Amino acid sequence: MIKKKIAMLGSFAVGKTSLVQRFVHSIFSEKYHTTIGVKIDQKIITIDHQDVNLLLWDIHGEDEFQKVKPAYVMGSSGYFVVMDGTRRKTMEIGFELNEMAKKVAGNIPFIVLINKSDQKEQWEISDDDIQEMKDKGIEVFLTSAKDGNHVEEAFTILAQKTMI
Amino acid sequence: MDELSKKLTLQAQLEEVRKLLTGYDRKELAELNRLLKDKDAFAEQISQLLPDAFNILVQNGTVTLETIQPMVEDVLKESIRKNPRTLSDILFPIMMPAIRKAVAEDIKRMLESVNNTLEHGFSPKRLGWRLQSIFSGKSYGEIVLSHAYIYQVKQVFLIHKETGLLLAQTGNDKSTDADLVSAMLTAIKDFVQDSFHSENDSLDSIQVGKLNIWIEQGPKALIAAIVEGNIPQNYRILLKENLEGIHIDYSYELEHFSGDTARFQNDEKLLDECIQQEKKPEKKRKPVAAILLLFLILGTLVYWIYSLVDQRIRFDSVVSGLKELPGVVVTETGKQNGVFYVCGLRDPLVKIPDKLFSKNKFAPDNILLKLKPYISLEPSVILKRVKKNITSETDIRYSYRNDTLFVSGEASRLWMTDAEKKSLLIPGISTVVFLNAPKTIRNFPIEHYLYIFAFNSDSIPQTEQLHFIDIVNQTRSMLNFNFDQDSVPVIVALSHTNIDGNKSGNKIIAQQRADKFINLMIQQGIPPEVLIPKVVVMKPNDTTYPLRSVTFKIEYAKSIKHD
Repeated sequence: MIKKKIAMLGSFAVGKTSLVQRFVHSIFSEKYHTTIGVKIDQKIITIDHQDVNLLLWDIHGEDEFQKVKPAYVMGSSGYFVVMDGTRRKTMEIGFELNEMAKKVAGNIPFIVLINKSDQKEQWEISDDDIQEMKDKGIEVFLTSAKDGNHVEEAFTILAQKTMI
Repeated sequence: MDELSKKLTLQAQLEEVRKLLTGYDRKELAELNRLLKDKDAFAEQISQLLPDAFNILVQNGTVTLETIQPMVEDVLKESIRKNPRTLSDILFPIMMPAIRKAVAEDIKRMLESVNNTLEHGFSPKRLGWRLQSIFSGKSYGEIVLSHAYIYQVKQVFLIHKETGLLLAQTGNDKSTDADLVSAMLTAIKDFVQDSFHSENDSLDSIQVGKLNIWIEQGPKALIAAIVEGNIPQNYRILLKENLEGIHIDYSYELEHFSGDTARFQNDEKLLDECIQQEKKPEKKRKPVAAILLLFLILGTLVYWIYSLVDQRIRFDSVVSGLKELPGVVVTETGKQNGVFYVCGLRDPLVKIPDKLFSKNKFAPDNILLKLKPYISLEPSVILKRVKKNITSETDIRYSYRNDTLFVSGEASRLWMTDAEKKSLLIPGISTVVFLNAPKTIRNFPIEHYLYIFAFNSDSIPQTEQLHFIDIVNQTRSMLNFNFDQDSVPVIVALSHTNIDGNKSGNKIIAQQRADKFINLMIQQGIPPEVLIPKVVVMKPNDTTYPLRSVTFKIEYAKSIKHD
């Protein structure tokens, strides 16, 4: 079986764990549990008639006190950079993490997920910001772990990218 | 000019033919020729091609490690033989750390072993081992080893070091999600190494309850073995050797791993060597449980048989007791539906004593008595019946033999008469003998007679008159018998009355009744001087004689001699 390591990167409380839970278990909880270290989940999906086991490394959120250990990203076949649409600061941290991931894992596929699309009215990340990212060739998905909006789609597309 | 041009033309034509035949022009051929002749130049050209050629040979399998190995070994052997110093100089920087590491590993292993021994040195288990050593004759060390090195490798994971992805696994216990475990182990390993900034020291083992996870790391992959029990240190050597082998055999796959684990998973024997176990020798334990069970069953059986026999013995004792009881006849005994029963006959006067049951540890309800009533002719039962039917006077004793009831003691005349009548009605008694004269010294038949009169009447009842002639005859014979010369018998007619009602009237009628008998006897020729009428007034509770009755009593009076 093909196995792929996918890392979830992003600032704290952007919804990395919720996105994984939504994708793997189809559940969402309003309760916030901070991830300590790394939490690993898996889901087998089928791409081009082939089963692929995605090992999802849900890495703790980065903040000024806790930096993401590069070792966790090493060996990934792809990664998500998760941002919280309601907090502009998470975009900046996301870019920093993206740079770190590139250094560690090289030019591997990644997708930017701007989460909490169910609270669009409170967003601080503007459409221009998003367009700017897209202009740089970055694939961006506006997701909601709460509604499940674009979650499945984002994971599937990243998995497909890792297979190329 | 023509010749020259002709010559040139021919040369050009010859060149053309040569090019057609060999594919090379003159210059190229000259170059090739030069290369072949100039060894240095040729070697330089070949050296540029050799690495690529070798790579192709390795990739297509023409050159393998197995084919190169003997050559390399031969070269090394020859080199060492010729000049050992060169190789030792080369190996020195590698060997010394390796030796140090090996020595350190051995010391660590020894320390762990000593520590293990000390830890359990005074435990009950170890004391048991010491005893086992004494009794079995084996050295203590042997015993310790036989116990300490028991372990079982439950699962072995081969994990790609960089990605943390599971490459292969083996083991009987497949309950754990190996992919997640592998990834998590890698994460933990990375965390430890990253946190302590230690490149050389790595996470070697993790203990989870009774399980030990031993991790052996290689450059591209690591092996994690989940082991239960006391693992011998040399198991780590086995893991190392296995991991080295995997690195050699799968160097290309590990280097270019992109997530496809099929190549590793198809190799069924990849990790088989790592699955080790050492079972404790099956001790031939005594089947204690079976023996206990057998004893229990036997004990129960013996107890059950004992209970049955004991119960039967006790029942037989009860039956014997019943048989010995006068007035009880046992016709049948047995046990039905677990309940003992006794069939037979019982005189209602006979009471079966509770003691008979209690003495034999039976409750009276435990034995079903089906005893029909009958009248027993057993002497003791006859005597009981006598005592029941006859109101006893004090100091009266009865005995029975050969249909005869013997009565002894003091009693009134009237009682005796009543007792005799009642006794003769009792089955089994045909004769009554009074051994002592109750309340009188001499017992004359005349004194047995009793006449009861109707109220306020002095006429003798018709039925009683028949006996009167007997009285007269007995009186006559008695008068002829003197006990001594100085006394004569006197017949006193006692007329009994009481003080109830008309006291004087009672006395008058009582006197008339006594006189009636005296007159009748005089008429029969009995001398009047031996006949005395007497009224006896009884006390209210005196029942010695019936009311309104007349009895006779013989008294002796001093005779008056007439000179």
